[in-house]
Amino acid sequence: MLHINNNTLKFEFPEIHREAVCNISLHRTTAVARQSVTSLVNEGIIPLFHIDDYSKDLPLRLLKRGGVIAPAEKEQPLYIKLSGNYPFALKIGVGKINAVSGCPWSEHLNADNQDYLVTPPQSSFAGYHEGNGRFHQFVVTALGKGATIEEQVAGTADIGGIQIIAYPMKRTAYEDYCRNCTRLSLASPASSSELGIAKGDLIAQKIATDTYGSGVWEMDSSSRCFVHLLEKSAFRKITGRDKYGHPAKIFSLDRWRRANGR
Amino acid sequence: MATYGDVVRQCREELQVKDRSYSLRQVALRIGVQPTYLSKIERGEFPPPSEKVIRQLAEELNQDPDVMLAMAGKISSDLLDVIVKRPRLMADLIRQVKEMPDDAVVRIVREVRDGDW
Repeated sequence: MLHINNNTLKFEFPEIHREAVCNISLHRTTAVARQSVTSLVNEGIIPLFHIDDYSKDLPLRLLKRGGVIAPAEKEQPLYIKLSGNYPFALKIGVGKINAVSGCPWSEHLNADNQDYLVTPPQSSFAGYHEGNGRFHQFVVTALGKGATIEEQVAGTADIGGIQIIAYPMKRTAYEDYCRNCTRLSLASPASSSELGIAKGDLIAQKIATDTYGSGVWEMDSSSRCFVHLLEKSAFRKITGRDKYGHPAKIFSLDRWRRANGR
Repeated sequence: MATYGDVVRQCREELQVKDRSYSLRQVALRIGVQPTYLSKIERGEFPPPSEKVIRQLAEELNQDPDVMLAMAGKISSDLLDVIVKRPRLMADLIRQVKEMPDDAVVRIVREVRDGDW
C-alpha cells in the first residue's frame, strides 16, 4: 500500500514483511554544478496531496493517472530522498523517461543494464542519467515548451511529473540478508500549470549497484505513484493552500542553455 | 527507558562511525544550533528543543520526525491543527484506534490511488 505521511510517500508491503517500508520525498535544493550530490542543500520538503481531493478543479487527463500533486516552481532544482532499512528496487521516471537509464519507460527491472535504484544503500537521487555516467541535475520546468527531458528524448509533452515504482525485496531474500549483515537501528496539450523535469547542470551522481542480485525483488508486488508537478500559482488556486515554504535560490535554465550553446 | 537525548546521541554516533561529518559539531552547525547546546540536549541537561529543531535533527539523522517528536513529549503542529479543526471527530477516532493492533490501523490509512499512465 502507498500513503502520504509527513509529505513523504510511504510504500508499505505488510503482506511481505512488517519492515517492508520505503519512504520517498521530494526536496527543493540549489544548483550544484559539477558537485557531488552529497553537497546538496535541503531547501525544504515539497508537500504532497492526494490528487482526488482536488478532482473538481483538475483536468480528467490528470485525474485518470491518480497519484499525488506537488507544488513546484519553474527552474527549481530538486532531489529525491530515499529512506528505509528494508531493501527496495525503485524505478524513477521523469515524464515516463527512465531517469536512471535515460531510456523510455518500462515497468520491469532490467538487471543487465541496471535501470533502477537500490535503497539502501542509495539515499538520494538528484539527476537524470543521459549516459556514460553523465548526470544532469533535476530542474523543474514548464511542460510543452521543449525543455523537459521527455520532450527532448521522446519528442512529446504528454506526461510530465515524476513516476515511481517500488519493488520490495522478497521475504526470504530479506531474511537471508538480515542474517548476513548488520543494520543501523535506525493526450490533450499540457496546460501551462503542468510542469516536468529538465536537465540542469552536470552533477556527480552515483548509482549504487544492485549487489543483492536481480532475483531477490518481489516482481509480483509493486506499488507505483504518479507525482504531478503543478506550477505554484495554479496549485494555490486549485487547493487554496499557500503553505508552500520560501522559494529556494533559483537555478537559471537560461544561463545553462547559454553555457551549453542551446 | 532511553530519553530523547540518548536516542539523538546514539543515532548520531552510529552514523559517525561510517561518516565523520556526523560529529556533534558538524551536525549542530548543519541544523543551525550551537554545538554546546546540542551536547547538553544529548546529555539531557537541557530539555528537548523546539519542534523545528527536532524535525531538522530527525531529518539529519534519518529518523522519523513523528517518532522523535513523541520521544520529546511533543506532538507535531500539523497533527494539532488536524485535531483542532475537527476535535470531536478526531478525539473519537484516536480513542477508537488506541487499542487496535498496528496492522489493523494500517488498513484504515488512506491509500494513494493509482491510475492509468
